[in-house]
Amino acid sequence: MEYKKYEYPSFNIYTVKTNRFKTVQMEIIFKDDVKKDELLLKTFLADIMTDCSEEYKSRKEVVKKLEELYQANFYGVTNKLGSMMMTSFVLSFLNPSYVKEENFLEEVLKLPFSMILKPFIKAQEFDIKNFNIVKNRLNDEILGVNEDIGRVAVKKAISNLDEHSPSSFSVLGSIEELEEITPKRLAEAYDKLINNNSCDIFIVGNLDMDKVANIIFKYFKNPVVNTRKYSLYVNNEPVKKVKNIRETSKFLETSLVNIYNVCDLTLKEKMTTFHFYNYLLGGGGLNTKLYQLLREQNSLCYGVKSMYLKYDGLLLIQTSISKKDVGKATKLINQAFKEMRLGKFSEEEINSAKENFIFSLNLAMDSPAGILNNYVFNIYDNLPLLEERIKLIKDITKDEIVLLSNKIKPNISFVLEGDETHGEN
Amino acid sequence: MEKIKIKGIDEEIYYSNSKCGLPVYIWKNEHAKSFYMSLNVNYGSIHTEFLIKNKKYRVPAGIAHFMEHIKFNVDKDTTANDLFDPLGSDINAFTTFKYTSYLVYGTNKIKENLNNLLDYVYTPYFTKEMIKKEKGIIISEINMGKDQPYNNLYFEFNKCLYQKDKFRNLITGDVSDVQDIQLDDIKLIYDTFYHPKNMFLIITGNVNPYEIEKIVNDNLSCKEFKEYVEPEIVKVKEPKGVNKKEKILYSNVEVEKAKIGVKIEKKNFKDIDKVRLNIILSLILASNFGDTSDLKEELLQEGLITYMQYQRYVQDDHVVLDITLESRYVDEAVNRVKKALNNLDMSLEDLKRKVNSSIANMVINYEDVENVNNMIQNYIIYYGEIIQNLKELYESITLDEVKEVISKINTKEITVVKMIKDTSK
Repeated sequence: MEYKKYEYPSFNIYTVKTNRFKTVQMEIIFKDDVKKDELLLKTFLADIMTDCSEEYKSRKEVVKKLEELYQANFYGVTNKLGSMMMTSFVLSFLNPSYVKEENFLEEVLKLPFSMILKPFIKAQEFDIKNFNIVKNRLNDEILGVNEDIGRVAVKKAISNLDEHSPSSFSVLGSIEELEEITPKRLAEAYDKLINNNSCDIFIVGNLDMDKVANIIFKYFKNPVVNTRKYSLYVNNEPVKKVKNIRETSKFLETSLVNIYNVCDLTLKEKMTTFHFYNYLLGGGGLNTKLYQLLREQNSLCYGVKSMYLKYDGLLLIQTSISKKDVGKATKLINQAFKEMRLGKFSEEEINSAKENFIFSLNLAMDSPAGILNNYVFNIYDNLPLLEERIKLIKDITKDEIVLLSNKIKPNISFVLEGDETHGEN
Repeated sequence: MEKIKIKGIDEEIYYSNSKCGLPVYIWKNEHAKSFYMSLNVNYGSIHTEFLIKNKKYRVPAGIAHFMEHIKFNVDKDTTANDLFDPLGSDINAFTTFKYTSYLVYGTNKIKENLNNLLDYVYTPYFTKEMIKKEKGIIISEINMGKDQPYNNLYFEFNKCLYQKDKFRNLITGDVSDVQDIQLDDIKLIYDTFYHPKNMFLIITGNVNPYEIEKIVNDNLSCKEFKEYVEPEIVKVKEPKGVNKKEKILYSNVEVEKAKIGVKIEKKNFKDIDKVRLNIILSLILASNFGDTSDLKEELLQEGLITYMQYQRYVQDDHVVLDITLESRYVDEAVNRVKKALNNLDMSLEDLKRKVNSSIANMVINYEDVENVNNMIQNYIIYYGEIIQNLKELYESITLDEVKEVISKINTKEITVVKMIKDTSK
């Protein structure tokens, strides 16, 4: 794989040339600080900017064009990463070598920039028909979170973090926030996105990247020069007293979400060792501490997962259980931490987990999106490239893993209580 | 070993029938880092009544899925995880209406992985204790399913669509079915259906087909298989009409949903083979209910829907067209869809564009090892063979033929299931 950077006055292009794929993946990223009142606005914007434009007046027209471009795919997405907000436009398309038309590459690359630079705005307002379609969709998406026990429990648990911490903000926002968005306010948000946010373009595929850069520069006349560096990490302070919160719900199952602060990690721990710790604890496959204790040994649940939210300095554990088992599940989770602290895992288990972790990194190399994603964090956070990460994982020792146990402090224990006890159906 | 050429897209699938009768399909991709294996059993949730030498057997619903769970146990102290974890591979399994699949996803040690897969699936080890333990986990899974609105909507839809067919049952079975499952049922299912002659193996990724063939033959030649009992599934004669024309489900949903299903006797399309019919129906639904359809655009613009998707199923005796939507005005949205089902149409321009994009999709589909594996599973299960001439089939479809299929779509047998917000709680 050949990595290359093209610097232009108002944006950078980062390319990965590889002959391993039949498709090409491109992501145009606008970066900004996380601001609570702009999260939903940006989500709305990413949606409407890929639903229509001055040239393609509706999603129907856009999809027709994408079908003509040999089933290309184009969508907008927002991601909150710690204290940074990314508004991304993603294009994937068939490698031009499979296509008859000689100008296909230029045609397909032109589309996202045409849509980004020429949105469907008239008299400083987004087109009302498309505005309403996206608004209705987001309305249902916001409401729809409450239909998924896992999502609603995690959302509620996270909202109980310090209210000023970006970690507690929801990207989707609320119905009230949605109601406050108007076509005019959205057009103002668009101006701000184009004029204030720093922009980078990442592309992975088997292409002549010099030619790609020239085409992008031809169609992306973004006038803004913003070379500001953005910080990703949120400093979530540990709490003196753990918050125990219990709510009832309409679901059958009960969801348990525990949130922990992960404090004072070294750079190596942040980038590599803690990911591995999480993998052993509950983030990996079917042999993790949590899976073995809760599911295999005690039949309490179908699944249990831990997640390391690196940029928020948090660790999150979530499972769905019967309400009568909350106490037992909590004890078993504590037991899992204790076993990690006491180093109750063999070298064999570590080696297996290493193999598994390396497998998941290798897997990321089997898709253009996986390679692109890792490259984005390599640029934004100096995350080692996949090949380098594999080497680092191999070097982790048991002592390093045990050491991390003292850096985990409980913050929130949230129970979303359901109606059902197993077997009483 | 036989090479099955996929015409027009420069792909080939290797086929070999192992000595003990297990068919093996291999797709080689030298660029991939990973491989994906699936050992599939032609035994799914609908196969609960069968004959062996004219003797009829009936087993509880959900037993195929139960078997999938407990098959992970290799002996008293070993599970499949213990075999694959040291290899750094990921394992999983799933059950559908028609088959059960045991999966391995890995990046190295192909021989060990393949031997482990064959060893653990072909080693029957079942105890009463295992069955008791697994019941708690599966009941948790069933309750999780009942907490998912779309899961409930789908199975209620099937109950309205079919009068007798086993598609009416949950794949997991219900809690009472699971409670009924006994050790003898499990042994009966294993002895009857888990025979190489009733299974097929698919391996996709960076593998050497000849090496795979040798590993499979070497492994299986060391195993003893009883004579295949050639079970005969008791077919359910499904009446032509729907079971229920309309059903309203009061549920805790935030966003109201509906499914509209048309059940058509397959003999209506008797001159068209199954693959061709599937393609044509897919094109018709895409054109009339997809993102480029006038109907979807109108319904979105009028605020009548926020989501709409379509699906078609070509089964032994019936063809089912299935439209799913989310709406705040479910009754009106459903009426508009029903009206559209009676006025299906397609333009030549639409046909050409959809055919071209579908062909592009065929190329794109051969990028991902998991995707190709799933595609082969579907070919074998639904058509009994690899479809080699899909591109030619697409290219040969004429507008007249599409219109002829449309003329044979009889919408008399239609069912509507609405999931309405329960305001009583």
